Amino acid sequence: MAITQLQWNSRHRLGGLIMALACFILPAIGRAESDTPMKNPVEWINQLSDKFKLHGFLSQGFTYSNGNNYYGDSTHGSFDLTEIGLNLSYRLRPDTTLAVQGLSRRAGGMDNGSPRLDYAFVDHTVAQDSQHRWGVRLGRIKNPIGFYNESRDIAVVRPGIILPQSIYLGGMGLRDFFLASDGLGLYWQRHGQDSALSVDYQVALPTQLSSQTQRAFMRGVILPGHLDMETGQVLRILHDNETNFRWAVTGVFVKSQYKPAAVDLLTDGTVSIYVLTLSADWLLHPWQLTSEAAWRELVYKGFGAAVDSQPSHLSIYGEALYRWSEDKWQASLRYDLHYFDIDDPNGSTMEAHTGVPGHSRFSKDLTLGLGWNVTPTFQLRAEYHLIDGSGFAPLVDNPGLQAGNVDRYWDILTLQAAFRF
Amino acid sequence: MYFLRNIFRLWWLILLLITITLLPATLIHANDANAVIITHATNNSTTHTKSAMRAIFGMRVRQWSDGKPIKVFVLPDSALLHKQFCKQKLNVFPYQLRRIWNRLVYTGTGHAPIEVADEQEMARQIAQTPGAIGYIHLYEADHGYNAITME
Repeated sequence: MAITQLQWNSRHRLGGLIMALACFILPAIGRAESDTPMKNPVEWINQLSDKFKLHGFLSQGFTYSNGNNYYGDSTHGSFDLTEIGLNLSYRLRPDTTLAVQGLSRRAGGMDNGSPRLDYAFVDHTVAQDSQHRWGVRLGRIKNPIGFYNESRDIAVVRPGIILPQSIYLGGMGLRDFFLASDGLGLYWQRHGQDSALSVDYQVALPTQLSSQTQRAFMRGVILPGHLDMETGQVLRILHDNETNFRWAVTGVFVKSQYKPAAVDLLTDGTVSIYVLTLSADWLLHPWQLTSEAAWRELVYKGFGAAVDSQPSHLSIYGEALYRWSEDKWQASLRYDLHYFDIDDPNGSTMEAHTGVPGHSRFSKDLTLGLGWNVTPTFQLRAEYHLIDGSGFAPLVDNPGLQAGNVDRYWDILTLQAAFRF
Repeated sequence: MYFLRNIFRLWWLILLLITITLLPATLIHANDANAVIITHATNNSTTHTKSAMRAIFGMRVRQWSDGKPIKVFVLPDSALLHKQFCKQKLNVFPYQLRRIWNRLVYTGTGHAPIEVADEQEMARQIAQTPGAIGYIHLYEADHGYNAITME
């Protein structure tokens, strides 16, 4: 058993090292070729036709933490953060595009790296003129939540290595919906004088939630029945003055129903989740100030007195980013705060009733970040997180968590190399 | 408070951050040369507003008013002319455009502009591609492209 475990770990470490090496070598190859008239293979493919575009990304992280694990066995140093993606976009007609992205993400116990279809949809522009455009999307679509949810797993597009967990973690019953949903999307955009307004509405088809979301739903207890998402809807309004200020308001409504097995501890209750997210971003070159806040209301109904409850979550983060050398370098400072129950912010009531440590009900994360764009397509990043509260310590990476074997104060140091093409 | 203790533990990092802040940001050397936006010769709409140009180079507007698809050409982010064009014509920084294009490309909601190596290639592509738009330093008449006047 111990040997198997060791082999498993070393195999993963080796994979991580290979990935890390690839991250360093590939951009060098890309760079060498761009200096000569010869094109690299991707450029060559993309120049065959202006209808067909191929792009992708590759990233490898290293995580070291004390106290609790994050992205694998990070208290001993972990390479368990690898993101690989490949996407195709094909313009069938001037007004119709087909877009597909495959993604493999390995993130400790949270994501096992098995390839998945990240998105696959047909986008049809119904009408457009010089000022307006509206259309429909059909298929598997990323849900537009806040500024960054649509690009949450793409290292080169999101700000930092770990997104502010308070806004983007997803949490109980929301994870699947935060990744993507199968359904219909409508969009409307207006480009006025010095402003752009876009409105996105998406509705998901009913679906059975992943086993991972189901486990998170009952804090690791494996239930014999299954959890179905009955409704998932999102509406985002985003306004951009096109030079230095943008804001967004996002509303999310997700309702799931538990379908009990023949013999089950739980009855067929429902969980309704309402989320309101406010986002603002102000560019004061060389500074960029970003803040997002979310209010979540969860309603557990029909499970019986032991489970039925209506907790409200509060999340907020603020980030100041500084750029220098024409965006070659960035440094950032972020404070991210999350309470899982606004009526019991420090978890003391919960601790008194259940014995579960109160600090698992909140998270306060002070993050210092440094980014270096080595080439336009290759970047290195480092982040140091100082955390008070175990609210975002993943159960899957911390098996002792349920027994209360979890630290309140912990630090994460994480490094990442990311390449896009 | 633990939070404050954390700050004190990292005083040296904060000091570093402050030092960086006080360093002057590298300025874009906007010399006398001006960027001129050009389109393919058959394109009739040659007067545009700054926001219309931002919508086109931000890849949000995809058709000219006559329904012809817009084909956007740009130089690499590091090219001096690209930086001048961003600042003078759109009043944005190159990294803002890059952020917009990356979001479109990696969420499947749009395409990035076509990147060409240099100004000669830019002029050549625009002269031979119907619906094309891009920018150059020196406008010359009768080379197969029109200059766009900004309102």
